[in-house]
Amino acid sequence: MTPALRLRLHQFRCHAELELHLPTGRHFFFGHNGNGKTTVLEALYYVSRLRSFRTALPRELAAHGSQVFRVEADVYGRGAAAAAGSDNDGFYDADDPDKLCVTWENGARSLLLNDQPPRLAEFWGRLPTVLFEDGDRAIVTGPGAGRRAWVDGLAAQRDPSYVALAQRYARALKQRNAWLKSHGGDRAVGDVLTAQLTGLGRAVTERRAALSRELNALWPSALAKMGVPSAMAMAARTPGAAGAGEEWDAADTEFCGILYEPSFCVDRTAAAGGEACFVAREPDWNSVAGAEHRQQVTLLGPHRDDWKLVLGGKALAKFGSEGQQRAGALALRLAEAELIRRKRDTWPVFLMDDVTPQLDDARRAALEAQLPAEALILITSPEDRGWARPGSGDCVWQVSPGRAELARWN
Amino acid sequence: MAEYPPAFQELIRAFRRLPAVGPRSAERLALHLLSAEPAQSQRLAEAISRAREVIHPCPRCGFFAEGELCAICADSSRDTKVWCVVAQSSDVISMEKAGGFSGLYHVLGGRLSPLEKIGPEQLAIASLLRRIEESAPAEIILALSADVEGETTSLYLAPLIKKHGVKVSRLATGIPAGSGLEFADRVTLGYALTGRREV
Repeated sequence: MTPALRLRLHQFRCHAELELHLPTGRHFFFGHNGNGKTTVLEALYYVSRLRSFRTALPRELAAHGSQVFRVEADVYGRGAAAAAGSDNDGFYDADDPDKLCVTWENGARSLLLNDQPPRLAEFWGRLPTVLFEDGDRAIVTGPGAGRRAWVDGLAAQRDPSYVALAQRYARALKQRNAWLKSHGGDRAVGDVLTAQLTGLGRAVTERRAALSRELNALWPSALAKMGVPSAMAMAARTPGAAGAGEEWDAADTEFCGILYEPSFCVDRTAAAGGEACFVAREPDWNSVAGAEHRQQVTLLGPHRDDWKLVLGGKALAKFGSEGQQRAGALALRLAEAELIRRKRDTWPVFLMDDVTPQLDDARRAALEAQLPAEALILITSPEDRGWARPGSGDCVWQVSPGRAELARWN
Repeated sequence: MAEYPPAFQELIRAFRRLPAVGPRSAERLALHLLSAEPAQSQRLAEAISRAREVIHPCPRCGFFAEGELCAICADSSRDTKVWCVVAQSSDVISMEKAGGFSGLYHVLGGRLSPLEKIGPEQLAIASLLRRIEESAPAEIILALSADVEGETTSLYLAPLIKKHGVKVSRLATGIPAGSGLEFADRVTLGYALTGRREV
């Protein structure tokens, strides 16, 4: 079940002190620009993934003139039941919360999980979140790095052990690139680094391949529910099917799906129980040795993977309309949330940063219909655009620096 | 705006060059020394100066030595047939505190890291191989960290040592004590499985 949250901010951007009690359900944050609506989402994202979606520099998260900030999130396990009514003001059940705390002081970050310093892998993604923001279209249209970061974030939120694997791969890649830049250095050192990169890269590739298969099963149907005609045609053609085919026949003008394009070749085999199992092959480093020597960068490995999003038999990034691309990105986020729920048995917290202005009424309604009722959903907007309806149980907050007042509980 | 006198600022800068000392800690240390009894500063200065004078790397293993050899190499009761290769002198102390090892050490002085421009020439690898030729140990334990740099160094050293007919082993790696399986990545789990033992 989705947790309920108690969020506390200290010297975080424009909020000197702010405390919010958030039961499961939809929360709307209204207020003028610069009043700190997005900052509430950013704080939750930060305590979830230890980075901001607005800046790469943590010092920019500290209030002006402050050298310290802190974000605390108490995550309660049975928020849905609590929200329906309990002994403590309808907010929390009596379960002990998971207490997450991130403090940044003078350039150093410290973590506490239930008052004890945790390992990074224990903390990262402990509170799963899915961010919907205006820039999401770049996942569809932008360079592959954005798609890799998105898939890795999803993989890590589903399975905390992926964080350590991805970090090891990134470190081995940096070391191998540094070795290539030293003009080959000691050959034996290079061989050892290549062997390590191969092992780690194969593990990353196999995890990505398995995840891509699940994504491919979900994304077309999410897109169809967003009312995108080509996706609806695909869904109608394969009713009840797990999703799109994994091979794209260029002649199939109705094809809709996500195609994983790994740098290492991957073989798909059937494991015990009929589950698909992916095995990445040993890459042919000799085939790129000359080019690597010239360019002094590693040319094979998951850092060069990409995904092609296909709608109506065409690449969505190149041939899709802006509206289709936006719908495609929203469908990716919805698929992301569903994949996290399947693995973690809890919905992630939905962080929706002013995503509706670009959507027409029909598509906005389609998005709204796909938001699970039992999730904790935070939606920011300068003003109420008709989402928060009377009798819906929605919480409406008015936000200003250091204050968030529950204006009404519909 | 008033500032600290130049000599005070120089003292802060000197502290800041030390590992794990940030600007606030450096300032606190400098303030403490200047407000404490002069004898305290004198004692610290003398201790640093004397340590620099008398302590040198053991010519055999690279660990800290005050005499000709370090206390471990000079100890005739140690098992000279089993050696432990570590990255830093502080790792020797960690191993000794843990107990259970009575052999000799060899301190590499770091780990292979092209990013930090540390190659085989920057480490005490040549001296290790020379020492192996001269003393012919039966087994060498590579006690290096399980991160990318430690792994690279171990994988680089193992074939070089094996060429001399010496058995090479590594410290077991895997699930940390008190940690859950769900937080172990596939590589770590692989190590843990490989290094499993009967109970």
